[in-house]
Amino acid sequence: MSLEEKLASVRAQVATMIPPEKQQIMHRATANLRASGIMDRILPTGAPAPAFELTNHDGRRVASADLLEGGPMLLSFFRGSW
Amino acid sequence: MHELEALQTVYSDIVALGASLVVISPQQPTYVSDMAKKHKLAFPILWDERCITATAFGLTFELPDDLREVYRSCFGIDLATHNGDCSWCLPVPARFVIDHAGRIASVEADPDYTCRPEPEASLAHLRKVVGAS
Repeated sequence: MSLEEKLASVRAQVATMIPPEKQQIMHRATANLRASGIMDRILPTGAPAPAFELTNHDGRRVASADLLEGGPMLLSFFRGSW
Repeated sequence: MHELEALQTVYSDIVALGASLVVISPQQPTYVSDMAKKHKLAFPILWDERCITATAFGLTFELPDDLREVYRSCFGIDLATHNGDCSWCLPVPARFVIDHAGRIASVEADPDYTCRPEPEASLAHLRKVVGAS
């Protein structure tokens, strides 16, 4: 099953669980976020990637500069596991 | 969660390309650690306290009050607790390929958090960068 198929089943589940007026709030927030122009503020292709040094969940520090010495990086921003 | 599991399925391909995979999240490590163990996630999941790194990439937004209420009452989610940050900020879900010179080679992002790119699409972007170097 593709990721999109899994996400579609989550969307269908949420649609049955959440009251319609609450779903409206969620949809409106997404539409407002899109209309806020945030997509134009996201760093584009060709821009230098900001360096970071952050703590992994196991307590280790991880620096982007160290990883990039070994090769390119796929970087994914994740909202949370909730 | 589905997204991280999906990324795990292509992790060996990413490593085989000589590349790294890094996930960045504002969620505190205590919450992330259990999930990473349960789903056997082999890549780093870094804590972006107060969305500082997400902000540098232009991804951060603050949830409006009515949406916070929906998260609390319908999903039982209190982002202030999860993130250790009372501002209720989140990143737009996004994936970047960064080349070895530190430049952004591809961007995939959508304000609709229910849409995520397929891992194979990101892998294809990564392959192009590896092929070009």
